[in-house]
Amino acid sequence: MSDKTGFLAPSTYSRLLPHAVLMTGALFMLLPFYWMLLTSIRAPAEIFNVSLWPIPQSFHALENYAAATQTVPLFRFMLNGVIVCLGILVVQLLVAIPAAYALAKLPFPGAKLFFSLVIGALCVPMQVLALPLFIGLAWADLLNTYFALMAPFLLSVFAIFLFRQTFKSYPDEIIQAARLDGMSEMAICWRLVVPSALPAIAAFAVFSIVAHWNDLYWPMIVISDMRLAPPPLGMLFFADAESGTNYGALMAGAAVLTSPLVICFLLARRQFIEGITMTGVK
Amino acid sequence: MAQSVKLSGITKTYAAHTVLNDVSLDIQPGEFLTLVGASGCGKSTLLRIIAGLEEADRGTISIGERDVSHLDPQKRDVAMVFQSYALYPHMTVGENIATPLRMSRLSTCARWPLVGMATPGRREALASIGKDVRAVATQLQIEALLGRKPAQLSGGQRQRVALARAMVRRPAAFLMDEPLSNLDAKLRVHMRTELTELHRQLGATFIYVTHDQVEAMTMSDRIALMADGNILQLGTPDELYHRPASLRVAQFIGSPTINCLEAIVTNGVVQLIGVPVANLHEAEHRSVTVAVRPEALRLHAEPGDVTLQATAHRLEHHGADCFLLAMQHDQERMLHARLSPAEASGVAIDQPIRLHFRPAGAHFFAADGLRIEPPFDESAAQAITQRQVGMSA
Amino acid sequence: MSAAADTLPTEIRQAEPLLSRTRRRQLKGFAFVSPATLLLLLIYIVPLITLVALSLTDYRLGAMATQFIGLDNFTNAFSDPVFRRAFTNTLLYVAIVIPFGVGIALLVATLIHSRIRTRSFYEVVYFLPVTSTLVAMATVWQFILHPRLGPVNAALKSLGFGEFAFLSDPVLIIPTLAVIGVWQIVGFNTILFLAGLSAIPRDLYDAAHVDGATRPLDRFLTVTWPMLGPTVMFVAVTTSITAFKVFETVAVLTRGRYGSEVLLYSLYLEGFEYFQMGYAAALTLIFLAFVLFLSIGQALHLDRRVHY
Repeated sequence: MSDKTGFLAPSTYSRLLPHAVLMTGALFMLLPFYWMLLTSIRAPAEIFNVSLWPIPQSFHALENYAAATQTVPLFRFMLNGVIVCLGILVVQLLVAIPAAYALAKLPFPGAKLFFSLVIGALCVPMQVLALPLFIGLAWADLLNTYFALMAPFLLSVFAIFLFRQTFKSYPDEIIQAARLDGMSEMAICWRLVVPSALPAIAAFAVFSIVAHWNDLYWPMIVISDMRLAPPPLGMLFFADAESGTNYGALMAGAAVLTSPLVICFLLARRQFIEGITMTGVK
Repeated sequence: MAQSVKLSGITKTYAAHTVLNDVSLDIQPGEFLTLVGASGCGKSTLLRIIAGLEEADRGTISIGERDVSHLDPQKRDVAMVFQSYALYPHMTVGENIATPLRMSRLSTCARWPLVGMATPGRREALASIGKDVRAVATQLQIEALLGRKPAQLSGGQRQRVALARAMVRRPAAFLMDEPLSNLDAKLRVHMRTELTELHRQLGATFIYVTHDQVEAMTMSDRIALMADGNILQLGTPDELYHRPASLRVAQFIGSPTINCLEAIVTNGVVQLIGVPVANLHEAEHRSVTVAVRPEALRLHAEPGDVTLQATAHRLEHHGADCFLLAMQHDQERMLHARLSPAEASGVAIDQPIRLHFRPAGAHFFAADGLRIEPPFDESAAQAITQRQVGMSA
Repeated sequence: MSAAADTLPTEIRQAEPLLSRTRRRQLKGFAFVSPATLLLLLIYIVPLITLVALSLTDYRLGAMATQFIGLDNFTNAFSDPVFRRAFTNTLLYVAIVIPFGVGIALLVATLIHSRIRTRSFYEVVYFLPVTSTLVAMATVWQFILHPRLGPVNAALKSLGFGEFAFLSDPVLIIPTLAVIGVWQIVGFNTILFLAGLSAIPRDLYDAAHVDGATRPLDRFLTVTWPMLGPTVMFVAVTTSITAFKVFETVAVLTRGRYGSEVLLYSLYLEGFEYFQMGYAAALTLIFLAFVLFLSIGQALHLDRRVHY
């Protein structure tokens, strides 16, 4: 900016302009959250009120949230989400950690082939596998089960890839010393290498939980029973059930289903950002 | 053109921490001035303030006759060499060197990618830039590197490119922030000579920041020794070494570190281990520090010498000379003495040894650390010697 | 060797040459990867082969007979107006989300990067949509963009514009979905750019400043943009893959009505609503071909990006 921009000194401009831009963007980012919370405490009669004034004419939060929980089993959805996410995560770790350890520290014939299959699988999105997996689960009569919800995600090739990179940096000398001390490979893997890789594992856990809590595509395919629906599918059922009659309850439901992850995010900001941005593969 | 750089009353505070405390400094045109001090003494901040990368809270900076206190770095007509060299990694050596010229000789419009292509006068400007870049590359013998990227260069080559980028603008003053600290020991010694040579060729004003007192001593016309945001002493390397203004200066300059001993003053006479060493005219001093350079300690006594009893502890051979570490008895201080190899050959380790020095060759510092100049006229020295002889008899 | 080995009988020690220890370690390696290998076969390899086979048939779930029909599914797909619309819609969506999702994130990141006290506040605000459940937030967007009940149309009306049917007007529908897509991805990209920005040495900005790059734009062109080049490429590829997989917003907001089909949603309809398995398999392979094309660039970058 030139020295003759006007009444304000250039330094004032350069201090205010970024904030002005960022605040405008921030308002756009927050608008849906704000509108969701605002509507969830407004009375149905206020549905035509489009003002953003934060205080409703009549405070209707209790009724809306109660209506939301009565229309659909909101807490059941969340419980489903917890069961599915934890189940997936535990199996992913149990499978990926030994495989990554073998790739990093136990040379075996075919390791190269296995690793290139892992890299190849990294590029295949889940939606591609949905069709044959669905047919398989239908044949085995496993549709509408928790197992069906978890099945495609039990192997995370991304976890193998990530943990291999992490484990590789673990010093070979310590592993050799442990072998001399008579520790088994299993013990070396789980008791030496894994504890040193906890930050990477935590980041992956965040990544995995967020991805599967929010996934809609696969639950939509294998679940038609509302009692087994994870949060996003539950939300979809809810939106169908309401079909635009009670926006207050609908927004209350949306708020309840979004809140667990948002609250976790606000509590563990660093870990969340690190975990989710660890990869662009979603 | 070499220009003078004048700082007056520069003060800089970060949060509650005062980094620079009312610093004033006059740098002559064409002078090589070094700011030296331990890390955190404010020397780098002072350099960045001169460059215009940071603004002082108070005080003014003028370069030549111009007050540049509130000007952008470019308009101050200074160039800077960074510790990390700060070469643009995506540009070739030639492009790196050309950057300051592109900024000053091409219009804003012509610097834009694509749009700039069509700007009138662009080609002439680029030709003149190319000519200057090649000239400075020839001067520093890096013509062969112009097409390479910084990642393909050795440390010494990067150093030269950074210098070339600074020189190409023909600035009024060069600012250098520890430019040699990333080089290995041998290359550092070599580049010291080269920088001094370059300074003489260019005749420009150099302001050089380092924590290495050897660099400061070997290269500078004058040194400003800084600590805690103040200049402790400003002077030639010789002055700082032989007439340190304070105990801190004496301890910073010189390797091995100067030997310090505590002495008591009674009736204006400095008594070291009960031995009178010097006469002070002022009687207000209670205790003083007597500081002796390692080379001032001798094994053989001369008339008028002060003698220290010690135990030889260790000998370090450095080729041309030899450092003796000896534990002084009364104050249990480790003394360093610089001896010739011939002298050192007679030293027996773990045996008592006597070290002698001439009182006039020692430095005296008051309790507040400031230098005291005892009058070493003939009669005073005589009187001391007689008393000493009397005591030892 | 451990002390136990010394106490072994001599003949056993001789019968156990050095090779077998390597061998045992190899066997352990196999044991360690065997669960992963089994799952890799069951989840990736067998399904992919099945998928290719299915795409050459007219298989329908529950159908009596299945026939090999060669590449008919693929030729049918490209002559199917619905699929073609889904395809062009997806490309349009990607074409909007990439420049805005990357450009806005780059702008926001450069601005946030120089904040000190407010930095974490802005980080949280911009990242919030990334963590939220998109299906729930899409429902909120539906309400916000409602022609009569939403605040956006109310604001536009008060400015003298007419009523916009963002989610049912065929011209507006894909751009509207793209705006929501940008809203969701900007925070993600911003964080990636912030990481790239903090990797740029401060000295370079100082050097550029002394060299005469005083204006923000000059500094951006001299240092930021060239230093951030690889990150920009990575972010653009990642964004394109995410955008290519747009599904949730369509499923919630339009269900493919009013000409708003996108690839993944038509794939879902064909496969899991109409059970045209053979045809859906062909569509899946077309979808995979595009994602692979985009992923190759990403995988090449991933190797360099993830190092702890």
